Amino acid sequence: MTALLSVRDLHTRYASGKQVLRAVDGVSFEVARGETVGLVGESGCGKSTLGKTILRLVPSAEGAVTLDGADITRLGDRAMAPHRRKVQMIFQDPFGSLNPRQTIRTVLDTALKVHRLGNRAERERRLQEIVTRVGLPADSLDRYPHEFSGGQRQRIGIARALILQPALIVCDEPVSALDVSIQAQILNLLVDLKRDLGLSYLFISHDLSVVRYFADRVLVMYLGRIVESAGHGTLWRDPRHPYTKALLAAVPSTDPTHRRGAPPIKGELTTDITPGCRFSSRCPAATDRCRVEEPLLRPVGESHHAACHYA
Amino acid sequence: MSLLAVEGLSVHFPGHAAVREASFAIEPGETLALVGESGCGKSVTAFSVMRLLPANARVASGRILFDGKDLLAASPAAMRDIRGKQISLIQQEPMTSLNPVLSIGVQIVEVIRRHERISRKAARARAIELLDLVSIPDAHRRIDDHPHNLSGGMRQRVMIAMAVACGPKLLIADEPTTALDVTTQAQVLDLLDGLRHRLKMAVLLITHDLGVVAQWADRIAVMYAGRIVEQGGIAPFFADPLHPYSRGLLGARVDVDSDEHYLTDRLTEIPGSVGSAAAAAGCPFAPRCPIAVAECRRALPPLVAHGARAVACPRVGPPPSDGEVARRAGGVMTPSPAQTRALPHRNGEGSKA
Repeated sequence: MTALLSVRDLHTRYASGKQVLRAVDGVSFEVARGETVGLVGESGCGKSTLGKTILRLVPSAEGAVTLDGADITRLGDRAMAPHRRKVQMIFQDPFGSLNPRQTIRTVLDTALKVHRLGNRAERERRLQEIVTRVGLPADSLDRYPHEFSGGQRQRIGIARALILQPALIVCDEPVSALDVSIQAQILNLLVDLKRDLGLSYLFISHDLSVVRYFADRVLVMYLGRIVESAGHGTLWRDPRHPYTKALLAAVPSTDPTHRRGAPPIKGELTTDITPGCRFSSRCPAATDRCRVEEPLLRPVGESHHAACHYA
Repeated sequence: MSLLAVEGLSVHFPGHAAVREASFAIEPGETLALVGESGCGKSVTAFSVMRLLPANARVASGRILFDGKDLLAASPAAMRDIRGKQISLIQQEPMTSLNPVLSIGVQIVEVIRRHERISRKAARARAIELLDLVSIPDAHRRIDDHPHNLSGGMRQRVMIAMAVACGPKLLIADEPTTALDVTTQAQVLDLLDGLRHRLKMAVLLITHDLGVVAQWADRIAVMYAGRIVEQGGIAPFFADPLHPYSRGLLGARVDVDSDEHYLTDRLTEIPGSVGSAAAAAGCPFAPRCPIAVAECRRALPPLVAHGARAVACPRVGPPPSDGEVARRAGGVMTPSPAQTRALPHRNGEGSKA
């Protein structure tokens, strides 16, 4: 069976003056039907840009994105339209991504109108259904975004993504702006929706605790590249890339009896791409080879890949 | 005598009470974590201690005793001598706390010379030492950098250097690492903890991150809708949280060391949101509380001490002895069937697998 989403050697570049920032620099992966793939990395590593490039919100420079067997990389707007329905996005800041002057009905109905789905009565029924489905009060449709709490706004964001009945939802930090008690509500909702509607997720997050709970498979991104990919159990049990190890060691455990050691790396993520391995300047185990030869993602175990000469 | 004792503090904004009769104390040299969700009054509490509340806020009642003196009664001039010298503040976003048009050296020197009679040259030498102290490489060169030349983690280190420049007894760190990446967060909090021991200062660590609390604090005070609802040592808090809100928080968290996965485990939710609770009479948590009774909606429960711990909930008794802990796990608060994961004591069972 072909994958729902297949990304091949994708590159995204931002130009500012003469400088070119290679935000996504040769990324390949797949998302199977019904699978949740977690994408983790620190701010500036390119994870959000990757998500936006897949949705064609940002143009790609090279590579191919295949959705449901169809290459959507170079489609024109009109040809792209039917494919847009299949992949939708949920954003981190639900307030910033909702028009404050539109009622929830307008926000949701616009998507249906643009895609010419149903007559007025059918659309109304669909709106009522979706609002209940995401756990919003029945009278929400005629209210404005500012009348809702943060958690409820994220439910509106989810409703907007769901209303076109997509197969894949790209979730970009969907719970990062929410308080702990609300975060659990939204994660549970996403789990229910996935189970009931057979959704697939690309779940982008900097929060490794959330990804560990929520993903089936995890991709670790560093400076535009995937440096490790593994099943969720494997990654935490047996991380191979020094960056993954450092990330995992840095997350504070909520068990005070489990004291963590100092993070084994120094410095911070920069945008400078050095020759050889991009992580070598911060890596505690880097050798001369790392500073010259860029390691490629290679199998290191069953469904487990790492881009390190010594993994 | 406690270094800082906040007693019955209430802070009102037009139309709502941000802090309601909050009491807590910080002992010399300890780190107290003040924990709660956005809007619960943590930052307002910190600004009250610094006497930096916005103009439309009013302290309605209470005392803030620092070294035995009531800061709320201090003159503006006396407060200016205290800020930066006795009590320092670090905020979440270092870029907005630093002046973008002045070099970091000038800004550190300014703090030192405000409080000490010292030449410009000597102050600059101190500033370089301070940058060294917070592990900024090449301090003698970086001192002339402007904030935009530095990364987020480096800027927060500069803020820390400024905050500890005059050897304060109390450092208030308001979400100091929330804007930072996780690897940088660990470096900055380790640095802060090292300085606390070296300089023998106390830290009021304001955060919403329970992992940060578990790893870097000695004691915790949990705030909900302007109220301190629980206080105590870190170990007993995480092993046996008393207040239903604390239990809910620990149940709702996802822990990086836990094997829980969405296919097998459901997260425990705290139903509703803070907004639905703030206006109600009685205990602010009652509308979301799984063990609330009619009485909870009538009167505001006071914070009652149980040994070294304190809790503002009449529905939970004094903390049990060690032997009792296991027995009580399912007793006091029985989760509804929808909450498949038991509220208390996830710590002891699943997370160390």
